Amino acid sequence: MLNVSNLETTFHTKHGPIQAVRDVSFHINKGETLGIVGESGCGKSVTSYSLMGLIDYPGEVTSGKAILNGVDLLSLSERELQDKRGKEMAMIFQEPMTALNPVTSVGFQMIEQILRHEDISKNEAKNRAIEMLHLVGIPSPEKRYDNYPHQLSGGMRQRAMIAMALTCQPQFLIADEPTTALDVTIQAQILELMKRLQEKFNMSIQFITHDLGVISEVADRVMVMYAGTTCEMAPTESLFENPRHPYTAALIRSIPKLGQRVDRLETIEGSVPSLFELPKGCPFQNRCPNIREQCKVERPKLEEISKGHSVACFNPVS
Amino acid sequence: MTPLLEVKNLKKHFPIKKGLFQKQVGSVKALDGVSFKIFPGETVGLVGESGCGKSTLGKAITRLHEPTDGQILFKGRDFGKLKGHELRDERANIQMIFQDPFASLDPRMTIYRILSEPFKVHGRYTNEERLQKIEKIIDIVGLKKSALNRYPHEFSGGQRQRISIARAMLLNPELVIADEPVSALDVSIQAQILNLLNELQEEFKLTYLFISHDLSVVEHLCDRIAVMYLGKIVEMGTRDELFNSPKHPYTKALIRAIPKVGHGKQTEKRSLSGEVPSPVNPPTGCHFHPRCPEVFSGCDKAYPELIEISEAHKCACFLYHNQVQNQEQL
Repeated sequence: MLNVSNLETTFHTKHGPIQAVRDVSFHINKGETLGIVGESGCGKSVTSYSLMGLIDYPGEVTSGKAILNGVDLLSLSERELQDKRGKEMAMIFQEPMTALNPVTSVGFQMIEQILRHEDISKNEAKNRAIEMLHLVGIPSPEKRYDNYPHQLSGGMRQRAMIAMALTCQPQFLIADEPTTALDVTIQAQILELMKRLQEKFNMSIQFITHDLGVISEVADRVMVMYAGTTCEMAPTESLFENPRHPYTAALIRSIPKLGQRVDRLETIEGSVPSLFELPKGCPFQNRCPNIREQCKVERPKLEEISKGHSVACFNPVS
Repeated sequence: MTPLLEVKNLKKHFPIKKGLFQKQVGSVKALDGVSFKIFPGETVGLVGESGCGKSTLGKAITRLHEPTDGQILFKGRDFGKLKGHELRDERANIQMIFQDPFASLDPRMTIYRILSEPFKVHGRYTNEERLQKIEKIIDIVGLKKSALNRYPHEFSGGQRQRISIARAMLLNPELVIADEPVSALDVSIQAQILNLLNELQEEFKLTYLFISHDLSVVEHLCDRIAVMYLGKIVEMGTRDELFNSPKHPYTKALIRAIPKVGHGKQTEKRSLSGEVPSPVNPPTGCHFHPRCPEVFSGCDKAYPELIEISEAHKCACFLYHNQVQNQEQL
């Protein structure tokens, strides 16, 4: 469905260029959810912005391909991208209050999109929008249609944004931390909603989050990112049961888990290196317990070590 | 054992004013009669969703928000009635750590100035002694001495949180109120800060009130836990009681709603319907009844008292009121 290869995105800052995403490749099958996890600054959001063509100056996609239904998204002009965005692919964001336009009603924002992509009357578009609001579980959608974003609660706004993203029934959805700003009980509602809609429309979802619990419940496969590169990619179960990259393993051990009590949490010493001063070799070397001489000179490539499970490490955890 | 802190029927109502003459048209009942005790050396967790009043409670205890009603007893003394220098002196014993280390450190002060501020306010020690104490604490929280001449923006989120923790420890407080101290941090940094808080507790014999929305963090750190919903405590118990046999339907739903690592894709439905109602007009009767899966007639009539259902476990739900009454009759 989507095939991304060797994606590289560079930001030209006044302190010199930094590569926020380096050599990232992945694919997403039809109806599948690929989770992308990593800490802040690891490039998980930049990866999806690159696919959507939302990288602006001083950033630039410097190389790579992203084939969606046979078309390379990265080679399209802005005009061609506009035809695709909203129709074939859509995105939902973390903070619905900033992602929605505060000065137009929810309904207006929805039909604007429908009318851009489809040749139907305003009335038909309105009916479609209301139907969509109903589908995402917004009570009395006819009334909510005329509401402005500030009149909705956080959970309702996120539902409205999902409705908006799905009005043209895209096959590919990018969800960038869609539940991070929400409370746990509301988060559970939104995750259930997304699952239901995914089945209904047979969508592929790229789900970005820093929350390992969320990813473990929604994703079919997971890609772990660190300092702009992929360090591990595996089916969800295999990743959590048998993490091979030292970073993934340490990350899973460092979170407190419900029902499992320990006196001391394991930590990953140090912090993520700045993208300006990335070491030669593996970016995780300064924090890695399994370090070897080779790690300091050569950057490990992502290699498949068992079926569907790839890791970028010279000395993986067994 | 006498409690270090005892809060009795604490209320904080924020007025809503409208119109030319700022007439009061209603109030937000952020805290609506909260009572609990904290004993020396323990860590009490306070959980709930946004808007339930957990942060207001932290601020009301330190009197950053002046409570509308109720009593705060700190070491048996009425902290709520203190004024002027007595209040200031006592506040040295109750320190706070805030959620956002970017907002809680003054960007124009060096770390040394930030850390010497508590001493200045309380007029303690000479300059040399201050430097000595600051150097010691900065080492304990895991930073280098060279950090003292730098400014907050030069540090990462985790390091800044270490600085604000250092600031809270300088006056040797007895009670530390930590308001979501790790929620702004990345997962790998969270673990470092949680371990640091644990070490400091042992070293300085601290008592914590730990406010968080994250139940797994609370379970890791706390001895006793209080669950809040719309300005009231709905359940309170020891960690084992609360997590192994939660009683209140809200607590049960909250525990069910947390995404769990490594349990595979979730298929069963487990979310609560509806959203947290506004604290301006909370629902009649039990505030939770419109969302409650176990609601029955009567829940919308009166608010259930927080009653003891077993030793070390309290719950405010009519489901258990009859049980307790029956036991008493027997």
